[in-house]
Amino acid sequence: MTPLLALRDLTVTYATEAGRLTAARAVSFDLAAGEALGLVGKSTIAGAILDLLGDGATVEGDILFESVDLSELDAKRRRKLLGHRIGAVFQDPFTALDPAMTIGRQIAEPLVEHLRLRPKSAMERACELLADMGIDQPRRIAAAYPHQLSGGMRQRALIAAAVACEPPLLVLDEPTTALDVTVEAQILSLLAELRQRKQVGLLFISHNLAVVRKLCDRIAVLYASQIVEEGAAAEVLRRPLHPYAKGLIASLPPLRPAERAARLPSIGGRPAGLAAPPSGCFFHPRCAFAEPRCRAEAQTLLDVGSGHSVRCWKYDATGNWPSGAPPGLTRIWAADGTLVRAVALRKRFPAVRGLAALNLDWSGRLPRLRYRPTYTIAVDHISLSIDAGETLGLVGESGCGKSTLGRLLLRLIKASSGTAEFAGADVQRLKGRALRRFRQGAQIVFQNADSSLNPRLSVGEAIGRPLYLFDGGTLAERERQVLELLDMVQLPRSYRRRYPFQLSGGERQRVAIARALATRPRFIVCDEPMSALDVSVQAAIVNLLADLRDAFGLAYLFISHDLAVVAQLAGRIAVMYRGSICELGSARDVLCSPRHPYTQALLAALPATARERVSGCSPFRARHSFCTGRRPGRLPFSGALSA
Amino acid sequence: MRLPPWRVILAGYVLAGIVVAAAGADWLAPYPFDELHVADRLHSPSLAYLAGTDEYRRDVLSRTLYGGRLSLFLGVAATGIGLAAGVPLGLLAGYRRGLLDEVLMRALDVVMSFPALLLVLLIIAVTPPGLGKTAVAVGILFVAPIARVTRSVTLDLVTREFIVAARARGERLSYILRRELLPNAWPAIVVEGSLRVAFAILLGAVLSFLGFGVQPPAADWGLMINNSRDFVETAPWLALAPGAAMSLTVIAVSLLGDGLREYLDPRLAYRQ
Repeated sequence: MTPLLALRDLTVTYATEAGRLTAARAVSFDLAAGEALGLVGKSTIAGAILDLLGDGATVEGDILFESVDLSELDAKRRRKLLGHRIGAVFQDPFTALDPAMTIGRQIAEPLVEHLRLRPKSAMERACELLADMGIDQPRRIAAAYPHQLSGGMRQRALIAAAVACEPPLLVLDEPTTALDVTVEAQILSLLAELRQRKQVGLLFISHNLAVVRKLCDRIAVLYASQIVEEGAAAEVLRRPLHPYAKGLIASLPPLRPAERAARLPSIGGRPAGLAAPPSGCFFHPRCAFAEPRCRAEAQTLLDVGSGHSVRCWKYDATGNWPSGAPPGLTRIWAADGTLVRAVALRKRFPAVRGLAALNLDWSGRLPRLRYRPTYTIAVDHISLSIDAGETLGLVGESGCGKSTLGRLLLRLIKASSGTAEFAGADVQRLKGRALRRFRQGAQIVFQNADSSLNPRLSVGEAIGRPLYLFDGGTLAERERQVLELLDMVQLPRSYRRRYPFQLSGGERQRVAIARALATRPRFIVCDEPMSALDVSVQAAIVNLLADLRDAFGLAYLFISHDLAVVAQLAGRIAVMYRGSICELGSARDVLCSPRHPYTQALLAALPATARERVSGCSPFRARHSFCTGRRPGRLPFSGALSA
Repeated sequence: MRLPPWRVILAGYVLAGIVVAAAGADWLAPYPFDELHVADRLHSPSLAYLAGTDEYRRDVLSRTLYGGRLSLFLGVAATGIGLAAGVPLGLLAGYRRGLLDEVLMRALDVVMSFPALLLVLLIIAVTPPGLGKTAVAVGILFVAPIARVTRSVTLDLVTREFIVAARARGERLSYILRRELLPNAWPAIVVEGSLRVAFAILLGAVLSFLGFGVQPPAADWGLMINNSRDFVETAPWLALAPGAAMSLTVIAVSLLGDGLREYLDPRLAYRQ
C-alpha cells in the first residue's frame, strides 16, 4: 500500500547573507492514511509541504502526496491541492483568521473555490462543520467576526475551515501552543475524534512532547535539521534511545512530588548552528555521552527493529540522561519572615468611559445627562504573602488577572483599593529614597523574551544600566559586575557586546534575568518566563531560578499556566480564577488533593504524559473527575470550560 | 567601526555636492543670478548658457545654484523646527497617554484641519515676508504630522516589556523617552523627516509663487519650476535644471535617511 504522504530525502536550504543554512537535511518518512505522525522540532517541513517557504528557500528531494511529487507540480496545480486535499492549521489562532470576514465566510470559501458549491449551500455546510467541531450555536458563530470569539473557538473555526473539503491530510503546526491547558485538551480530543471519524492523516508539528504523545501513533524527533529518532510514540517517549530525545524527555518537570529532584535534568550548550553544524554527530557538543568517535563520524539512521530507528552509533550503550547538576552557589542568606504582602488588593479597569459612558436618563420628568462608566474587575480582593527565599506559584488561565496582580505588587499600575506591602511598607505610599529602595528590591522578568529587551541596547548596556542606576561605582567596577552577572546566568562573557537579535530565546531570557538581578533584588515577579521556550531550555532556566533563590534568598512570585513548571519551583501554589484566588496551599496539597473544582479541572486537562506523572498521588485519582460530590451544573467556571 | 552602507555614502556625497554648489554659487555660477543677457531671451541650452536662459534673459544654471541656497535652507530649517518640537511632544503624548495626550492631539488636529497653505499664510501675513519667517511658519506646520507619527510609533512601543522593565527599576521620564523610546521610534521619524524636507521645498515654491516667500528677482527652485509652466512647450529647459536639482536633493535626503536608519539599527548593521 502506498503511503498517503511520503518524504524522500527532503533537504531545505536557505540562502542568507550569513551563508547557506540547511534547515532540513535528507528527511524521509511515510505517513499512512488515517495515521498521526508527530514531528518534534522544526516547522520548515510543514512549510515545504505547503509551499510556504518563499523564494529564499531551495527544496530538494521528493514530497510524494498520494504518489504525486508535489515539488514538481506547477504553482497553480499545487495551490489547487492545498485547502482541497491538504488542510493546514497554524499556531496562532489570533492572527490566522481575517478580522474583516465572518467566520462562516472563511469556512465557506474553500468550499466555493475547490468544490464549486454555491455560496448559499457552502454556508450551510460551514454551519454543519462548526457543529461538527462541537460548537453549540453554529449559526450564531458563523455570523460572528473573529474578534468576538475566544482563542479556543477560533482554533475550532480554523480546523473547520481546514477540514471543510474533507482532505485526507491535515498539517498542524503547533496548533495548541497559544492556548490554555483546558482549551488545549478540548482541541486535542477534537482532533483525535476527527481522525477516528474521517480517517484523516495528521502531520503534527510541536515542541510539546506531552501533546504529541496524546495525539500521535508515531513520533519523529528532529535535531539541527535531521531526524535523530523515529518510532512508535509510546515507545519513543517511554524508552528514548537517542541522547537528545533522552535529554528532552528528562527535562519535562514531573508533577509527582516524589519524583521531583531539586534540579531538573537539562541539555547544556547552544543548539547547533544551521549554517555550519558541528562535525560528526550534530549533537555531540551537548551530549552527555559524547566520545571522540562521535566527533569524527557522521551518524546514520540505524534501524533497531519494530519501526524504531535512531541516529546514534551507541544507542544501546547509553544510560539515563544525567539528572540536574547540584547548585554551584552556596547559601548566603538567613530567612527573615514575610517580604511581600497583599491585603485585599483590588484593581478594576474602566471598560466604558469617556464620551461613550455618557447616557441620557429618561426616568425623571426631564432627561438628565449621567456619566456611568463601567469597569471590569481584574483583581478582586486578593490577600497573600510571600516569605524571603520562598516561591509562590500563581496559576490560572489567560485573562484571569495573574499578570495584573504581579504588576500591582511592583507598583507598575495603581491599585483601586487594598494595599501591597514590601518589607513592611505600603508600596503605594513610597516616595523619594524609599521608592528607589523599593524599585531596587523588587524586579520583574517577563513572559515574552522577544520584547523584554530593548533591541537597540547591547547585552552589556542592558545589564549595566541598573548597576549604574543603583550603586554607581566606577565604569570599570560596573563592567566587572556585568561579567559576573553573565557568569551567574551562565552566558559567555563575550555576549556583552551582542544585541538581542543575535541571541536565542533562552539566551534572551537569561539576559532579562541578569538585568533583573543586577539591582540586587530581594523579590522578583516572574511573569510566565517559560511560555516561549522549549522544554530543554525551560529546564535550564528553572534550574537557574532555583539556584539563585537558594543562594541569595530571593522571593519569587512565579506566574505560569503550566502546573508542572510551577510545581518544580514553588513551595506553595495559588490558583487564580477570574480575578480571585480560588485555592492556595502547599504545592503538594494543591496538586495531589485539590479542593476547588477549578483546580481539579486544570489538573484533569493536563495531557496524558503529565497526568501519568501525578498518578502516584492516590487522592488525585479519586477526584480528578472533578464533580464528585458536587453539583456539576452550578460550577462557577462552567463558562470558561465550554469555550 | 562599522562601515555605513554604500547608499548612505553615495547619498552623502551627492547631498554634500549640492550644498557646496549652492553655498559656493558666488564662485561657481557663470553669471550673477539677476544679470540680463539682452540678446538671449529663452535661449536653449548652449555652451554659453549650459541650462539655457529664461523669459527675462537670465541664466537658468546660475539661478538654480543661487536658488539652492534658499530651497535647502527652507527645507532643512523647517524640518529641523518640526522635529525639534514634534518628536518630544509625540514621545511624551504616546508614553504618558491620558489628559495630556488628549489635549495635545486635539490641538494638533485643529492645526492639521487647516489647509497647510492657509495656515502658513496666516502666520506670514502678520509679519513682513522673509525666508526666516517662512521657515518658522512651515516648521510650525510640520510639528503636527511629525508629532502624530512619533506618537503612533510610541503607542506601539510602550506596551513592550523593556519599557515596563525600565519603569520597574524607577528610570526617569527623560531616560525612558531618550534611550528606550527614541532609538526605536527613530526609523519612522527619519522617514517622515526626509519626506518633510521635500515637502518644505515644494511649499516654499507655492509661497514664492503667491508672493509670500522669496522676493523677485531672487528665486528658489520651486518658484523657478512654477514660472516655467507657461513655457513648457516652447522652452522646456526652464524646468530642467531646478527640477533635476530638486529631485536629486529629495532622493539624496531620503536615501540618507533610509541609510541612517539601517546604520542605527544593530540588526541590519551586523549583517554579514
